[in-house]
Amino acid sequence: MKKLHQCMMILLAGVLGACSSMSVDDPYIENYPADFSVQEYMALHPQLRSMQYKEAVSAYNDSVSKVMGGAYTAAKKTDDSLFMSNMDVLRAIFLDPYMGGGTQERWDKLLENKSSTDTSISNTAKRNFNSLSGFNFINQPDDILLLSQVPVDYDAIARQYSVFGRDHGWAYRLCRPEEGANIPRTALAIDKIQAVPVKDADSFVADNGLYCRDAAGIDRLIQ
Amino acid sequence: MNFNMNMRKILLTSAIAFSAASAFAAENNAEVVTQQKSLLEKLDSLNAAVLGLKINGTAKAGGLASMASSDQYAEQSPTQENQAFTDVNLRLTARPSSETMINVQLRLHKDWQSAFDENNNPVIGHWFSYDGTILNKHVDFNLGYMRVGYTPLTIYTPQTEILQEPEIFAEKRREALEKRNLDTTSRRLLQGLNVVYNSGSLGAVDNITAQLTGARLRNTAKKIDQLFFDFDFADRYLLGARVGVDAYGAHLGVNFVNIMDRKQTRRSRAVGDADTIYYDNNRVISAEVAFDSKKLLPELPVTFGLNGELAMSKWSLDRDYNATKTKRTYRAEQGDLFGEKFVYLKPVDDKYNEVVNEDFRNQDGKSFYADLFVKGDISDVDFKASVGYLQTDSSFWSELASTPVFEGHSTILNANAMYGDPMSDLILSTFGSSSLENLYYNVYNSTPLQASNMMSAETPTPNNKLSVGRTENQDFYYKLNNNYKNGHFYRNGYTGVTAKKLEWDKDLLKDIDPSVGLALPLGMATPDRKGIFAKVDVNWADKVFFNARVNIITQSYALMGYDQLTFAPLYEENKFTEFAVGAGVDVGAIASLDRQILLQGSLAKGKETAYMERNSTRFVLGLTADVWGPFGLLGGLQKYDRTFGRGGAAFAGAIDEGTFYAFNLAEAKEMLFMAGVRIKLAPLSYLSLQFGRLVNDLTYSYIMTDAVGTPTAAGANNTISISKNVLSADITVNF
Repeated sequence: MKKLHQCMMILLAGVLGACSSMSVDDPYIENYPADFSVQEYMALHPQLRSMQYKEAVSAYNDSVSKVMGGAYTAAKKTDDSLFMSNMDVLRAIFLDPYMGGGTQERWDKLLENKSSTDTSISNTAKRNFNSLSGFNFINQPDDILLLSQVPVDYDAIARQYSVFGRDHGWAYRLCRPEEGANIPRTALAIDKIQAVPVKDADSFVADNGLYCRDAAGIDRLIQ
Repeated sequence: MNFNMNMRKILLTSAIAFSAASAFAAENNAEVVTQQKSLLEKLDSLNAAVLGLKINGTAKAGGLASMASSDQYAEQSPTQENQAFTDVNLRLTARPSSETMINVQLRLHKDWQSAFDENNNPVIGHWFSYDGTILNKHVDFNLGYMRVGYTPLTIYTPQTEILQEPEIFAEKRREALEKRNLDTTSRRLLQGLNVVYNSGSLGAVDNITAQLTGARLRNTAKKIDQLFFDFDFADRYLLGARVGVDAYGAHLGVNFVNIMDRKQTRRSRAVGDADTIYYDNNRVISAEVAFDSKKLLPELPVTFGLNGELAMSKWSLDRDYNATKTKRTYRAEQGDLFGEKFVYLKPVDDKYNEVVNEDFRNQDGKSFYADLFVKGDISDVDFKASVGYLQTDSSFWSELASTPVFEGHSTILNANAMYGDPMSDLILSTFGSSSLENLYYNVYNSTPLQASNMMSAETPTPNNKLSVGRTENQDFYYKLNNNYKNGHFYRNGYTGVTAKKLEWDKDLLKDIDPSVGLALPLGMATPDRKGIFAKVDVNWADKVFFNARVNIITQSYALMGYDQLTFAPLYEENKFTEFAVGAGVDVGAIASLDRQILLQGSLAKGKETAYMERNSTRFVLGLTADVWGPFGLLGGLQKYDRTFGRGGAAFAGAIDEGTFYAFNLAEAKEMLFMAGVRIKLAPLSYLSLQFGRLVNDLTYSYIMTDAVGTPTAAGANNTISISKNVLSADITVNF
């Protein structure tokens, strides 16, 4: 009789447990650490937001291209050269934390390197500089205004952590004071393993750790 | 048919004997003489049998010529229209037993004008039903075509009432209704199954009744068949149920009616981007109370009582349409920001169409009426007087109790006439021909189909709806003669199709003709009405008749116009006052002659204080007299005048490209005079010669604008005046 009672309780618990697990609304929630915040993750990895600007520009330019047809290539060339000659705009884009994510020193360095005599340096600098044309809305005079209106797709950023960032050991939050002495990721074996490119998906070793970023920009393992 | 009713008892026994004899004879492979004898016997039994097969009906052959004249006709317009026809209505009733009966009614119609084009005619079936009284007479059922009526707020047909309508008119109206399979009762024509249970006396309870009705309704309400066949696959259903109990002269009942469109019905094609499909659902539940003192106080010379009903309605509308939706997915891409490589997610948006069903409108409303009556028979004076009060919300809707069978607004006679100016053309094609013409005349044609009247798939013709965009050789349908392809064309002001609420709300044309009742166009179920109604009917020994009607009704939300800025509708209160008196005297009966000389007359006036400020006056005079021997004289005069104080409703139409016309009707004056002789050729056979004169005078103002709305021409007090002389002669045989 006592056994039966026990069994019944277990069954009841099982039923309740089964029911409670069904109350999860978001199937992705299990892929995130409990204290994950998409805003914080985006602040740590502004390049993800930067790509959203570029995608918005490219989607717009594609739609213009569809309308203009053959005349598009020439129009783009003209508008790009106009855009690339406006150094104030380019600098503002480069310095914006979520667009170029650069600093004044890096901007100065970039301009300096462009005219370097070392072709390997100048070529890289020119390529990076020219990549700013990816922020140019074709035939639109006020690109900064339009860029400011591109909505943030938090979903794309959050999901990036789930499909890529987490397995590659991307930090998802700032370190708390007590975590300042945690092992840096560079000291872990996984960092070396992942530094070597793999040939196929099966050879990929996922990073099982969770990381925070300290004030110095070092990613540390969360214990 | 009366003949058969009267003779039924006498022939009942012989009929059984005949059918038994014929069955016996058919079994034997007997000689020719015997066979012929049995055939004769069969024919007799067809005529009269109660059990077995019975055929009766009417055969009518005749001609009609309508000669019209009007100053507005174009010079080359035809002014005469002729009909010459033989029309046989067969009613076949087969009784396998005394309980049940199969009823099939067929029409054979031959138009002699087109007889040369198509020398054979198909038979049209217009009634198929299986009816019976079974289970010891406790259960009545109808399967197939049926006429069903519940209560004035649930299933009912509001009828046109013209007091003391002379027989020459009444007969014409009945004929026009019959062509549409309708009659003058307040029951609805339906197709489906109807079962009624009556318990009979059970102790203190006189009767318990329960009724269940299921029917398929036609989805699209059309005033007149635009096409000779209907290819709308959408289904609509009616489900009705009622229970009631009778005791001590009182009746209590509950009625429920649900009319619904079947959602996502069999569509002939997928929902297109330009389509919006509406699904209507109308539910009405009502409780009725009735009392008649006759049962409790049979010794009193008068009886009194009441009828009352309280109904609640729900009307809801859903709609289906195609909505373009976006589905966002993400694709992992390699990002490159100043040389730094990483993976980011790129959104990919796919657009797709999805059929959306949305709840579009919901409306609940209440309606009630109570009617007190006194009736009695004191020294040969039979009388009934009643007075009642009704109150109906503007949001009340009961479809099957609402739509009247008369709609009018068609052109019945001289439809081939052409008008010399576009305004007359527009008025005659929208407002239509005279109301009296619609009430009393109808044209039914059985016409061979060929390219000019068949809706073929030849694209340039706008009427070709069968397969838009798929061209066929335009000569193809010229080959259709002698192919049993006859189309049936009605010119008839009546319809058996009920209008959905949206259709009714849209149709101004129905509002404008007060023939069906100015104050209560949709009968007791008319939304947004309250007021009193009273009736008096007196009959002194079938010699003198008197009737009176009064309706004083108020409408709270009569459309006044539209706000200049917001275009929101503006409403005001509208008061209807209607009265009608009628009297009839049978001079023959009073003078104790052996023949009927019935003189009749009535006057009806109606007006409203708002909306279009309509005012109507109907004046009726009639004579029905047996003159001498087989000769009878029939005559009738009806004048029907309408004024529209606020200029009637504006109708707009584009006639020529870039030019728009709108008109306001000020006045419509109509007159119909009919006179004829009826000669009894033999029992149940009549020759009828009739002359009719129709006069229709319309006064209107109009405005013409160009494509951007700048007025280009206008006119006031313009008139259209049409008169038609109609001659008809026919022989009718009832059998």
